[in-house]
Amino acid sequence: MLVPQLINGLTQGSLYALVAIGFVLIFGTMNLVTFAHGEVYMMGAFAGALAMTVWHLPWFVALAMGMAAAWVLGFLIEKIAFRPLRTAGHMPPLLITIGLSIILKDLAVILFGAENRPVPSIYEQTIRVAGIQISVLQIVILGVAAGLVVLLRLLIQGTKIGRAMRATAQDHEAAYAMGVNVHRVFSIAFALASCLGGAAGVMIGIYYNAVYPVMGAAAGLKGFAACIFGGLTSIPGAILGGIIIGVVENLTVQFLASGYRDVVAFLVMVIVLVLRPQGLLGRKLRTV
Amino acid sequence: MSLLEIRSVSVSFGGLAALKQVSMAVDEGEVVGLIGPNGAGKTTLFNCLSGFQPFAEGHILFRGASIQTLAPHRVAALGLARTFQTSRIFKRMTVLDHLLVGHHLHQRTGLWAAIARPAWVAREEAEARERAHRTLALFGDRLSSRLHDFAESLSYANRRRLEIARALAAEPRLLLLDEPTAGMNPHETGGIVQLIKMIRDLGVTVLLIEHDMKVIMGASDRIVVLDHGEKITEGLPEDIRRNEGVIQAYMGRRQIRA
Amino acid sequence: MKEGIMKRRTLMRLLTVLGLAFLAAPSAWSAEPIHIAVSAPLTGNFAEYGQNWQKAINMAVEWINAAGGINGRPIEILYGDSKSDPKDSAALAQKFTSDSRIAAEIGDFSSTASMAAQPIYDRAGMVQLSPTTSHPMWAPGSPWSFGIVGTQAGEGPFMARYAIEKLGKKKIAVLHINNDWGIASKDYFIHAAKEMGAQILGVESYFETDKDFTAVLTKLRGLKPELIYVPSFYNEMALMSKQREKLGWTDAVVMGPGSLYSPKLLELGGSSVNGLYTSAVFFPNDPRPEVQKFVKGFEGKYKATPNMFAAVAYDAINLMAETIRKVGADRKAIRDELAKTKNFPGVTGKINFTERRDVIKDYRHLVVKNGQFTLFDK
Repeated sequence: MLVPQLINGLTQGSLYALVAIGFVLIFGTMNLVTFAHGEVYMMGAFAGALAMTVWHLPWFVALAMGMAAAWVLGFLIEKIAFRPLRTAGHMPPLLITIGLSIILKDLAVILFGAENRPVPSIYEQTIRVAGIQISVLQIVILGVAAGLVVLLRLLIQGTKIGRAMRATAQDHEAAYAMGVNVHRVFSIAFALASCLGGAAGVMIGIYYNAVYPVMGAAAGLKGFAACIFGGLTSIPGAILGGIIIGVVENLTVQFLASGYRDVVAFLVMVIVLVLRPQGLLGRKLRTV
Repeated sequence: MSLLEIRSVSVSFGGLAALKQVSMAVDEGEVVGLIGPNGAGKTTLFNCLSGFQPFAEGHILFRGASIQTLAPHRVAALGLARTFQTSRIFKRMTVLDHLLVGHHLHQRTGLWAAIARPAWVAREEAEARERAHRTLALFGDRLSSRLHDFAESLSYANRRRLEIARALAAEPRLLLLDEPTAGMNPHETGGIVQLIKMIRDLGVTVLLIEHDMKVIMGASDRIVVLDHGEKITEGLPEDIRRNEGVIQAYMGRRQIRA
Repeated sequence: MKEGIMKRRTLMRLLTVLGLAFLAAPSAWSAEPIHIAVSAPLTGNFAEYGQNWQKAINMAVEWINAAGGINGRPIEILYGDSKSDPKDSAALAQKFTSDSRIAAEIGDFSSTASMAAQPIYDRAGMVQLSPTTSHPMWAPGSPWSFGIVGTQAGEGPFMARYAIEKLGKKKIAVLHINNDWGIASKDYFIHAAKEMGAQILGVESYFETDKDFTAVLTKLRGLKPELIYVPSFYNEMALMSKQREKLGWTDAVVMGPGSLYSPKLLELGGSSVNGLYTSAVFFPNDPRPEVQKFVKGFEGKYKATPNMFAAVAYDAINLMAETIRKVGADRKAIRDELAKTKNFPGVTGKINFTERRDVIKDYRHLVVKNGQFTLFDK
């Protein structure tokens, strides 16, 4: 049962990683934390679920729609909660995002109802590889997560907007002086982060066959934990953090008991942070 | 018409005047030195010019357009590039990346084009790299041999050069250099004078803040002197060297401090 | 979803969320209303169940008031949102017991929340009638506590007999929700199953917020049980079944208590819940007139078939109204009269309180076949 549990963990971890990368993009560029990220993920999940249940669209179209909805939502949140408070320090935007997360959750209850909304299954078959049964859906989810990470890397490393994002992250005044519209970079980083969160939401909805208004809380917490675990500003760190949390959780269920999954996952995180306060792949301190 | 015209600009921080009715002009093709003791308002003036410091009074016209309400990136888009007094490199980016960020304004690839990547995006990227190499050639092999190194691995002097290179990559009409030789040894400082002359020969107008008198006198066509936020005089280097007021304001205070 | 329903539900939720439900609606009644408090999870993880209660209770009160109320006085329900959280249910208990208008309380949903509030109702001397609390230690805990859903002490052995004697499955694994109800439910089942000679291969739990069961299912699968017994609610069971199907684990029988019995299980679980065994105290197809009146009325009003949670809440409010009709709105008199209840014709069966103030229910054997609950007869 070890290999199936590893695959379960990897699947779940890859989705935590997508959420965690969102936190990294936002914290990395703006040096701010959002507490509405889980709710953006939830709204993306609902958009995807609606696409599949109401309009009966194929899953990849639903994924695109969930990502687009989350993009728009992220863009608006940045405009409403962050832009007017650019010079207000850390606290006011943080508090506003807490408020926004409550509003979004209640809005979802009003729009979609408090109950679980079913999401149709896809790829229900399993395949056997070397005697081990693997769910095709898990392979699809891993593929989607890996694909998005590769696209993100191409965007950040090899394009004008990616360079502008990295430059803004490291010294936004210098970037500003070089003609980079840093406000636009903040917008794009926030929207991009939300978009990845939305993608994770849609895939989780498909994986568990359900979306529901409070689903963002756990995902937001795990994603944020993975982001801290990985070192706050490191995308590879966030990926590693997400996957480790996912795998540790699943192995805990296998070798200890289901009730300990979160405890052990967070315990491992605390131990690592005590030994390495900057996180797995983090740098010691921000210099900006 | 001058390339840059500053008309009676005043800035105060909480009642303390940092700039008082400063007026000056820079013509196309000039190297203008801006000197004055610490706290004279030189960097504040640079911040006003580059859009970082709002000013309530006065006007700044760059290429005939008022920049009073423009954000830094908009000022940059008009053709004004700057360096900072303290090193402001992007530590975790390569030398080449710095040049490409500098070239930012000349690339039109938006987010969607960056994702879709049509053929013209690749051409634009290739051209940006080509220009980066040409700009780096000004610095000999000091930077071009470290093209893919992270900026944080460079020596101090090379970091300062990299900042100038990054600003040049923007292909500006006017370049603001804020103490480019700060922290350099005398040998490295000499190279900077050469560099400034080369930059001027490329057709870029330069406004230079500098404490090192050898650099100021060697590189400037004209010098403006600020003290306590006021312009006390301007003129040719040899006039300034002999100007009693300058010596009083500038050297006098330094002696007191020493 | 119908526009009108959507709007009314939306408004209702907003009101409860904002705590404005306490504002009395303007009414044509001249007589002083009788106030009954309801402590229920109207938001949060169990919101769905609380909202089921609310629908059933609102409908019952509408009918009672339309028929002239209780001796000419209308019933007015004061809802409090406990989220089924013990902190909130205890705070609501303080609030309700100190409000002298309130005659009695209905709630809370989970055993944990009901038990947290129990000492407060006990001290104040107010009836706490829970539609769903089934922990065997609950009702005996205070003379003011009443439970009408039956206890796991009755249901556990019933389910064990179903698994072992009716289905002949003796290698059993258990996966339960980790709260007071789930723990008690699993304990009674395991105790009875062992006495009947079954082998318990493993026991695992999950938390009420969990939605990912792949890990724990993968683990249980490794034990190769013939049957998994799952004391849980229908939402989780539906997710669990789908995830089990995706993992390709189809060679074990799944069984759970009556909490699974809901049309939602079929809707959410689809084909993955075919072959699932459960039991029920409430059957919408029961021909008894009181059941048909309830089911027809509910379907007409809410365009949905009522589930067990709606049914027990409906029984609770009707029983309470009937009791008050006999003795008036005095807290102590209500308690004494309630304890004497004889053969009250509830939609979940006849209600007779035992000395412990809970009810022995008459369960039915059910199995899901072709996406429908059907009676198991073998």
